[in-house]
Amino acid sequence: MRGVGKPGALTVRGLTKRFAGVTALAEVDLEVRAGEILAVVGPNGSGKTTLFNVISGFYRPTTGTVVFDGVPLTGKKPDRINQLGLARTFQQAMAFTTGTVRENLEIAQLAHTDDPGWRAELIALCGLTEVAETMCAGLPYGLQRKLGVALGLATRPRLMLLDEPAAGLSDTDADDLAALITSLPQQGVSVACIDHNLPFLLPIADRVVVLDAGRKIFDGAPEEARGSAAVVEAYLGESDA
Amino acid sequence: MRYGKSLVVLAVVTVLMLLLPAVGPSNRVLSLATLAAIYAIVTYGIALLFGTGGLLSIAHGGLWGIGAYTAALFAVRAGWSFLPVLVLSVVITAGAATLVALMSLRVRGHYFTIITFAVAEGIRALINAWTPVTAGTEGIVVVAPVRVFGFDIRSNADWYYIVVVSLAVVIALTRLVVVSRFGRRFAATRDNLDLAASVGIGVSRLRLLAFSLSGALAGLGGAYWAYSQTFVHGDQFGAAASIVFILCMLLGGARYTYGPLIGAVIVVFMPPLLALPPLLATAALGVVFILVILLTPGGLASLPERLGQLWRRWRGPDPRPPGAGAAGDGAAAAVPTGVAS
Ligand SMILES: Nc1ncnc2c1ncn2[C@@H]1O[C@H](COP(=O)(O)OP(=O)(O)O)[C@@H](O)[C@H]1O
Ligand SMILES: [Mg+2]
Repeated sequence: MRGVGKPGALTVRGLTKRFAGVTALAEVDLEVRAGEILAVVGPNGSGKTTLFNVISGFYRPTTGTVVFDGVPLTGKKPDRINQLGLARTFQQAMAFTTGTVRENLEIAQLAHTDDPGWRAELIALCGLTEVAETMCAGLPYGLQRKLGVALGLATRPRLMLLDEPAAGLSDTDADDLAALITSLPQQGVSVACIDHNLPFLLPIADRVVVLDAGRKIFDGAPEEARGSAAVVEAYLGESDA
Repeated sequence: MRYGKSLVVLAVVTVLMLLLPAVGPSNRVLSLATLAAIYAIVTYGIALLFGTGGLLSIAHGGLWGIGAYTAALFAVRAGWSFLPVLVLSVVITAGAATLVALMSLRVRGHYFTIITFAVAEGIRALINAWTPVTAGTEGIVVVAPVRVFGFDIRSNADWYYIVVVSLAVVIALTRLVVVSRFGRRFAATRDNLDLAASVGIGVSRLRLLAFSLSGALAGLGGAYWAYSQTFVHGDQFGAAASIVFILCMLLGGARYTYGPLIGAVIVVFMPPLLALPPLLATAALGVVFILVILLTPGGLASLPERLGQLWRRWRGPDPRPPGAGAAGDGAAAAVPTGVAS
């Protein structure tokens, strides 16, 4: 029985992130509108993960601002940003290895209101019922990815950033995940999702942002993205490399 | 409820410890036992950081010196009475620990440990150099009348009782911290720092609080050291002392309720029991340490659990765990103090 909150909206302006020598993000402007599912795509190394790391406070931007529901996130720590209602998953599957799946969800709520009902619901929603009492250390990869999504959702976010959640999932599991993501806006969660698997991602997305070498080269409807010359070129460039 | 049960075990252990003076031990045994309890108090603080939070601090050998010198100075020079001195030592050392944490917790992993090493040696150097206040390398003789709740504290047994009761409180408190939401969050940061932060766990604040608390225990141990040894000197403190506490922790087991106590008893009693020349005694302790780390890496307190595992593997699958009937101190002591469910 989850009280449905209002989904969150994110505004990113002029975001630049430079590492020694590498400009991972260059002057990126983008929005995640309240209640939408935004797809973030682009070739490897185009800055997608860096974008999520900056938004969620793991990296400080070189310049630029991130505002979530009117609250500036720039300079805030990751835990503070999660407390404000923004959750993220990691490209590498992560779990608290010392506990079971159920205990992991408890840990995810330690800094939030403890909500056993929502945890039980999440275990079912994320397809984790059979492994609820299994230690996370030995979990198959696909289930670890689903757990990652569940951990983020356990914190009751209003915006969820998903970094390649379908990587390593079987087609059936990917379909289940797509259904789950599609249901999130009705539950009060806006979504930004990175994935390479375009047949998985584009059908569930309301809008697509394409990054290439740290720049936003496309921002629009999924069906237009397929036809965009710049997007096609970026992806062709990748297959050359 | 699980905590309640461990409190009952703790009460039994404490009563057993309090019976020691009654069996007529020599003064030497009694003062060694007091020393072991003091070491244990400091070691519980270090074990909270390491066992639960995965932080290895070498600062505590210096921090407990701050506690000891605060006690020495205020008891001898300022003539304060015992309980206010004790509180002040705890508060000042906790404050110093907070400053150390603010400096050292900005860096990750091994750098943290290296900075705490520098802190321990820095405190030792400061004590030795700050002659007008600390009397430098001469040290301070601590003789001050001590009264607690109307009783004069004079004999070795008196000190033993006070320190053991404090130790019991420390064990109850650290155990409570470990099983609390605070402790479970702290354990989550050890398990996976980034993931913990991503689900809203305030890593920096938790670590700061844990470090302050563990500094408070170093301060308490230091104050008892000053009173019971009646002499403080800069070289009693510093990284070498830290190594002794870390040895206590690793020997006994950082994640077990009675690990630090077991470790401290071994470290304090083994050398005199062996009656070897000092160098050989240290070597013997080293050998024991290596054996423990190789055979039961979780520390001696993990031994019952580990033997159980080996036994089960030997016997093959068996629904009834062996030794389930022997629910003595040992079995209860083997409850890991990590993430509680
Ligand atoms: N912590 C880091 N330090 C240095 N360079 C980094 C770091 N993180 C990412 N980069 C660089 O930034 C660029 C973008 O990487 P990333 O955001 O991971 O791309 P994507 O997720 O789109 O594959 C790459 O060139 C990568 O090497
Ligand atoms: Mg990536």
